[in-house]
Amino acid sequence: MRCRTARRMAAELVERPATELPASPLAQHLSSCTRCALFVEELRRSWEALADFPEIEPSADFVPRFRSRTMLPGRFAGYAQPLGWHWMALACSLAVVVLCTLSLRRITPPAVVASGFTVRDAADDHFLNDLDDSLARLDADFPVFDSWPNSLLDPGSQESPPSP
Amino acid sequence: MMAFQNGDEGAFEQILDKYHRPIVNFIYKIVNNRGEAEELTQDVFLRIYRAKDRYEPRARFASWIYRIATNVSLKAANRARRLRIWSPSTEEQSLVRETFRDYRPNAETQMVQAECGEVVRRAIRRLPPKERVAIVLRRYEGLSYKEIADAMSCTEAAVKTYIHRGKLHVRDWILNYVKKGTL
Repeated sequence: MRCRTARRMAAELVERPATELPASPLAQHLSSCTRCALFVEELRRSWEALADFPEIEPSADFVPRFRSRTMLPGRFAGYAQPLGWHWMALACSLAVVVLCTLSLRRITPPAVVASGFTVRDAADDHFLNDLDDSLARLDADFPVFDSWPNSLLDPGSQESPPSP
Repeated sequence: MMAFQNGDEGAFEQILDKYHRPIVNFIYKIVNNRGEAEELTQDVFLRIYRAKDRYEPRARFASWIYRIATNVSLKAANRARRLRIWSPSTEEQSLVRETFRDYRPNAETQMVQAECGEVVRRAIRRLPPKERVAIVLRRYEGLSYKEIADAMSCTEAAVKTYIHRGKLHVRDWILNYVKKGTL
């Protein structure tokens, strides 16, 4: 048996008294390998030393304090503690959901009508058509007369450049 | 617990009387702070009190309590580990003061015992939280590997690994203390 395997197996056995070590390949290995035997002995002693952990007595007001926490009226019994991270997490989650909903509504693509235009394009088109019609009616009702000579187009009205 | 489920408030008083001391001690071994251990124990019993209607007797009642206590104390230990809010120095100092206050030459045995206890306490405190919980449940509460796995919500193989590593760590630290005088 390899030392590593023996140590792994022996580590579980240190919880039992030394006399209860079963006769097995492990016992044979420990009787022949002094280093493993020392390791197991150290492990056993440290396991036994753990029994020295000092015990404590709960304070005298432990039970009365607990009773006072459970005697609170109605549905709030047992909840007499400051708002912890659970509430903060819940509030943050709600805020994230609200923000996501708002931003999704803003980036939703506009609806498309049968002609291929979006609703907004169709409305703009309708408005521009109405505007064209109105301007055409205005032009028909009030013909425009240009009484001012167009000096740029009439060469006779242009001044000659100054002679050097 | 079944009696408490049927409306017998006195049954809960019995549970409280029977288990509050072991649970305070169990959590104290994990969080290493008396005040915090008592507060967390109050939380454990509040959870039991609130779980009256949901309780189903599938396993031993003690296993169920230790499962709740394990969850509560592991959370606290991990939180303390993340935030590095250990305050062992004041508690250690007070313990040393307590130990040496009544020093008399014939109190040598008491001193040795207190020193051993302090070494063990420090060794347990230095273990990673999961190893610590597994070792405490096995060594002090006497739970089986299966019950520990149930309490820690992991497999028995994982529990064996935690306990094995924990034993090796404790052995190393105690040996180190014996040789060098420090953990």
